[in-house]
Amino acid sequence: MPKDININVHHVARVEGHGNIVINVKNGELEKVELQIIEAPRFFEAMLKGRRYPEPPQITSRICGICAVGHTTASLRGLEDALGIEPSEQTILLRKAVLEAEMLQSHVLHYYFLVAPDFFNAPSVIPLAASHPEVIKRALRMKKLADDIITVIGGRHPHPISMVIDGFTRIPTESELRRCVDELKASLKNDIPPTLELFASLKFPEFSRKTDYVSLKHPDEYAYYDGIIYSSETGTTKHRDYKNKVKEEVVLHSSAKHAKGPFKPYMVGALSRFNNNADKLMPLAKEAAKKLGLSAPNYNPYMISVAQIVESVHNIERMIYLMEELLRRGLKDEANERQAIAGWSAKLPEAKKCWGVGAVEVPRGILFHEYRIDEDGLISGANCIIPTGQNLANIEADMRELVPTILDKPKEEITLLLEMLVRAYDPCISCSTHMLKINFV
Amino acid sequence: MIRTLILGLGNTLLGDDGIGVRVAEQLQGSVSGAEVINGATAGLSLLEKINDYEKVVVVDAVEMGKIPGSIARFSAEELLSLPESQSFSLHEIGLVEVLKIGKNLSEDFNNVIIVGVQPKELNQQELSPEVEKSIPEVIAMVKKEVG
Repeated sequence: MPKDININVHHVARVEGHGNIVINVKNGELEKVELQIIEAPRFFEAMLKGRRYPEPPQITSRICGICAVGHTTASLRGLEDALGIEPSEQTILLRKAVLEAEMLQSHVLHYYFLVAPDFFNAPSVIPLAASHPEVIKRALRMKKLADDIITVIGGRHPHPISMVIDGFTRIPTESELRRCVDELKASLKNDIPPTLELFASLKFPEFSRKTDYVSLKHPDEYAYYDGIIYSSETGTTKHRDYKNKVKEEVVLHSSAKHAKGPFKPYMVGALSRFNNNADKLMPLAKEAAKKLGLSAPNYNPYMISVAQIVESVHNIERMIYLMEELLRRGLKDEANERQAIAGWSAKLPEAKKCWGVGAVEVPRGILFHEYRIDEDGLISGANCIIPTGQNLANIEADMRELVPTILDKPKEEITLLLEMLVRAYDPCISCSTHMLKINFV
Repeated sequence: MIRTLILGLGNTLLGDDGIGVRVAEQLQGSVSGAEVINGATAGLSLLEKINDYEKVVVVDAVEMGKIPGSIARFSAEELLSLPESQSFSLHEIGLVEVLKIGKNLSEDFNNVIIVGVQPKELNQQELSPEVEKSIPEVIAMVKKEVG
């Protein structure tokens, strides 16, 4: 029966930052679907102009207290691309390991603290801690492990301090890495099996909408640090040509720009990476996907959280692999061979006028940092394209398709399904304004 | 081994919310027998931190409905009994949420003392004169707690 529904979720809970969902249905016809982003823009790109060329990693790290390693890494990759610097193998192995650690930390927070309460009828993780203390203790243990690894490699958590252009100002000791490997192996044995058991028992909402899945892709590994931009619909794009794939536009109801493909919205994040790269997952992660009922390609956005769990298993296996490789090679101080360039260095190597792009996978999807450096070695232009900004248009497209199929449900259930949809994307509104509340009007 | 932690919390970009950070800055290196940490807007990681010490003195802005600059000493239990907001995200998780999660995990937090300062203005970058003026008394109170 045709009906009117107005949904106004003011300030969607359990997402990073502030956003609203507004849905208007009149006589059974969908009139309005908006994910309103209401946070003030933060103008990081303008802040970078005029700074000395090695400074952006430490500044852009502050875009996010959750993906600080990701921003630092994208920034370093962008600057090194501009300067023509190829870091050492040791530096790349350490960067890959710390990026895996941050992925684990962010994913654990999302599926345990922000998503799980929906399945236990809990408004937040606080009552969940009382009803299921063993679950929250496990989540805190997994988060602490990831945080500690970020501290060991990055020098500080959440904002790494030792990661700089062409190297590290401090490298971890072999005993620190050995302790990390032991703790990762213990987590794989003790914390992962109950995590898989818990989430395999939960019933995620059914909804399917095929979209364009965009992520990095690499021939040898599940791409996070390195790779070519890959779209399931349009194929590959070189990192420097990212603007051919990503078009940013301003929309009236959002203080975060929408970034989408030239023709239509696309998805970034764990499910896109899984859909594009599942064959490159580590062995236990492949088994975890089977246990959780996830196979590629999967077109259900609610399964993003499940893809994050699969990635968590991969993250742990991969860190063990990377750290054991570092230990096998032996860690060495490379300061004599090459001078790592820090933002606080008094004297900097000269830079010519140049530009470059860093494209890195961070927990919520592909992140781009582009920099222009002038003849005085100062940043003359910067562009940061954050994953949530790329997902906003796709979330609205999902909502437009989902709402007509659930109009027969009670308003409360429609609202919950929409909130869960938005939460599944793990949006980071603060970063994308650069995100979220629901209004049914 | 240092067993006491002085933890200044707050956001210096939000006016009087920065009081805990300002106090921590002033106390840095000046209190023997205690470690001073500028915890800024740290969230869940506070839980581990609090458990690492025998005693924790937290300095933070607390909305108490009192005259700006007023100072009050709370136990964790007393802080949790204050009226609360419902919002919860990882960017907004603060001391109250951390204490609630911890309590639900059966931690008692008998080792935690909160020195709270009533804020006046949050929409500016500086402390308000009233809150600025409270700093010496806050510092004296923190030092007394450390003993």
